[in-house]
Amino acid sequence: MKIKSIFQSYFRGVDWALITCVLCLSVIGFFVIYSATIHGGEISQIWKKQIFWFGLSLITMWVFSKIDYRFWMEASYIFYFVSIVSLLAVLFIGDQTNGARRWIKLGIISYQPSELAKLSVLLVLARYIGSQTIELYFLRRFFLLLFLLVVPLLLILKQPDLGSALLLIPVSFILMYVGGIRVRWLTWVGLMALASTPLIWHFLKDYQRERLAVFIDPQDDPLGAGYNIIQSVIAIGSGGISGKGYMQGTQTQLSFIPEHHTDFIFSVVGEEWGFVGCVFVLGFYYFMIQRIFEISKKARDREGALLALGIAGMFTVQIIINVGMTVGLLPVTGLTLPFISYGGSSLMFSYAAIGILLNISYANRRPVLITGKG
Amino acid sequence: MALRFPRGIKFAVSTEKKMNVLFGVVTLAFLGVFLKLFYLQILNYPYYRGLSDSNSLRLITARAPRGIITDRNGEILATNIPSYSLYVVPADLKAYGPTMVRLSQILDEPLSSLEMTVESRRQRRKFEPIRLQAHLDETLVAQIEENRARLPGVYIQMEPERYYPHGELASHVLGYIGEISEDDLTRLRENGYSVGAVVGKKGIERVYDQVLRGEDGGVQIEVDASGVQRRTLAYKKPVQGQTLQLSIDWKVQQLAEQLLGDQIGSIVVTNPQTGEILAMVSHPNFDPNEFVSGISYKDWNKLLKDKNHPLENRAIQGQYPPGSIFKLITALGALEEGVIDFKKVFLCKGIFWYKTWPYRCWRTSGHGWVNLERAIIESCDIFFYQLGLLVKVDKIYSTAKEMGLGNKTKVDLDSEVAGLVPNAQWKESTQHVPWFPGNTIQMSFGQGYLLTTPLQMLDMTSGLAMDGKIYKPHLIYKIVDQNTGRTVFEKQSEILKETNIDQKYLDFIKATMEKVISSDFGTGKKARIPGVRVAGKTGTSENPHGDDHAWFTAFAPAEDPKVAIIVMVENGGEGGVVSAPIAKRVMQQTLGMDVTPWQTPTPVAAQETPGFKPPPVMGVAP
Repeated sequence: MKIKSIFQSYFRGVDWALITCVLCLSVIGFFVIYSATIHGGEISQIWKKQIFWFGLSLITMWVFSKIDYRFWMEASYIFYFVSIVSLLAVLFIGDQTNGARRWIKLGIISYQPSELAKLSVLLVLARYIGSQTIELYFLRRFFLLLFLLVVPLLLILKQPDLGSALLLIPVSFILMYVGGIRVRWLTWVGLMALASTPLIWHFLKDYQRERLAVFIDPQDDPLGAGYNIIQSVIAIGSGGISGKGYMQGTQTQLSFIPEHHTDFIFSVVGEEWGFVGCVFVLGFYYFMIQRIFEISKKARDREGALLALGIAGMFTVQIIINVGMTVGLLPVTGLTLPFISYGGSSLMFSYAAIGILLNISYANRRPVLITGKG
Repeated sequence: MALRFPRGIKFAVSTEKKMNVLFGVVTLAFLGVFLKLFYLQILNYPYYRGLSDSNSLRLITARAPRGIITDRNGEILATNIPSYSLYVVPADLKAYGPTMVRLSQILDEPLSSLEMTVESRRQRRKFEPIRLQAHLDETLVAQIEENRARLPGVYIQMEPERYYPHGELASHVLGYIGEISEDDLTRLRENGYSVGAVVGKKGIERVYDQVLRGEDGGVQIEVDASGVQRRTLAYKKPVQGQTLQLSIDWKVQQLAEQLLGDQIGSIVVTNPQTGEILAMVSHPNFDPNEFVSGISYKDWNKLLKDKNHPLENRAIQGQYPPGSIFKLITALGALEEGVIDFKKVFLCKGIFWYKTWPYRCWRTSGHGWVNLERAIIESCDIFFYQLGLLVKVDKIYSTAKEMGLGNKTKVDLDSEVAGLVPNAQWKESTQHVPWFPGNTIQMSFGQGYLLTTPLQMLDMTSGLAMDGKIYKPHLIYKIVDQNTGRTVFEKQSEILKETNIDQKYLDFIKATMEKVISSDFGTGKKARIPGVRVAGKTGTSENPHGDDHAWFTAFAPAEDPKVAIIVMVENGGEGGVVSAPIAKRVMQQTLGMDVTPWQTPTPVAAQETPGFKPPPVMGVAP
């Protein structure tokens, strides 16, 4: 059968395990969003929007899986340049909400430069570290790498967008660490960054300081952010082993937890599906990360490996920070839970990343036709 | 080479190892979350389940006191007094029937009306407190506190309440407050406003709401399963809004209010060199205290249906034909256009025939041969009819626009109207009738379609006083941080527009305006102030609603203007008779001169709101 063979060759090498995994997470997301918002009046139609975004995201994933990842590597410096320019632009012409300038309005589209910046720093680091090996033992190369990281980082902090900054730092360090930068140097830089925290504190906006203070002691602001954490912890704890049942969460349905369809969606999982549900969802995530690590290990070249690893790092940090926040382990940063939280651009971004990963994994199962750099 | 980079050789191997290390870190992180979940959901399940079942945490908002509003010298115009309110949380009304009956006895309110309020919220948002009653007196508070155990779900909260010590005075400037409307909510949601918030609805309270509102605090309390308050978990102190200092000079404002008395009209006083508004009066007015805890439907209707529109700020919302004051514009237009010089004379015989239509002068016997100067001083109408026909409507229109008429003055108040300066195009497009020369005649002396607000006419006067520079009128003077006492904002004067009218024509108009006051034939001689050069112009505008509106505008001292004033009395009669004397006394007060002593009016508010003890002031102005 000719058609069958075309079909087979088309899908050969697709990482079905990874795709299944993220699709399952998205489906879980629909159900949780539905439960969290259906009694919420004006937001009760949100689950429909999420399905629409999901459709777009699937197309995005498909398109990205068809683009050779080396294209992103080649274009990485251009992306980097564009994102620096737009980060500078947003400081002057950005739309101001809650005292932060994060959005640029292009006609009807609102665009958040820090999203692009995260991606482009990841690309540029993967590209730079990936294209060299022993050269990385020169201290000045390390400084150059740090420079590539610090410029967008400071611009993001200036907005300020603490969540994005928090995502960038560990991902960059992971790439440098695996890429072969000496561990000793990384340790020194890490310690120096820690020592300069008071300086960063100085640059933070009041509401961010409040959030950090609240994390240290939720009772500090029991009516604002602290209240959210307390309520989220009560919701999760009261779920018990098997949860209160789908659409039965009292904390959720009575709107004790704010933003329970975005930032605090995991507390809905915890309350309604209990410990079993939480472990199930975390299991999917863990399996997903593991698959991405496999893709990275089997990648055809260093650049691909580092890119996959960077994406793995980004997802991990996002998941841990978000879930950690809802269970009261980490401060409130405004990072969403990938694939489950409501939000169009975050969903598209996640699926685009999966598309890139599919391409990396696809490429390493094909015979190498074009020889890459050493 | 290998010696220089000894580790490079092992590179391929160590990458694999590093990846494993990293994955180990990932595993540890997941394990940490897993353990925390285990701790919360398995080990401490009974504790959290208990908290969740009783839903024992309640948040009761503590309203932030609004910022204080003072005049430029610190006289308090709006402040806060403490007041007790009674709240119920519908979900906690466990013994619903008996509790409501008991409440209705204590409050002496019909059971049905209390139930109606609570019933609407028993299903939705039932954990949010509802305010059942405000202004509880102390005996009631004591009674409820005594019965606390028998009134589960009932809370008393002390709240700051807006209080306007001067009652009706300057009510249009200050405005009033009220619960946020649906429209405002959609407009302001991004700025952190929520349902039930109290916001400024009008005037300064509205325009500077974000400065004044402060930040609400709250109390977090734990209730037991039967809804009785067990303990207070936390308290967040509300932050008072910032203090707003207005450019109003309270003494001037008070005098102007008193001089206008029961007459309907408006007085505005500014400093033409900065645009600061020193007084803004509009009569009739209202008592903003009535709005504080929600005005009753009956009272609101009474205010709305009142044929004198007490809620309207006539200074910026009243549109009137300006009458003879407008002749200054026609004169400027004529001089600019070059259709006459200072010497040109027209004959006034008391009546002027344009084709078959007669137009009369206010002085029926006529003024004889008059030149421009005399025409302004004695306000000859027939001179201006003929002048208007020469200048034509387009030049009068453009001069009026140049002096700020027909556009909003951009004062920092809401609901300002733009007025109307007509021209041929306007008439054709709205009325589908061509512009007739008769329209020009009417416009030349400030009648016809022309409509202006008192503040616009004052802008014009200020523009003349300042040789063509019009400063943007404003009420804000300073914003002072309540907590630190530091000035956080100081208003800088802004030029609204600068006309390019020839200086020699401006000088002529100013000199002639002085003669309006100083000449024995001048229409404004009742505004003479001994020892001060006053320049002004009277206006008496006909209108279809009854007697003429009495206008008078002036500035002083002419050589270095410190004060500009507009007085408009609706259906008051002649401007020079009714309005000029008012303007004189107000200007004297503003310039710091001796004024004929007058009685300090007894505070209106203290009499009109019974039940108020002398209010303890919350927060003090700097």
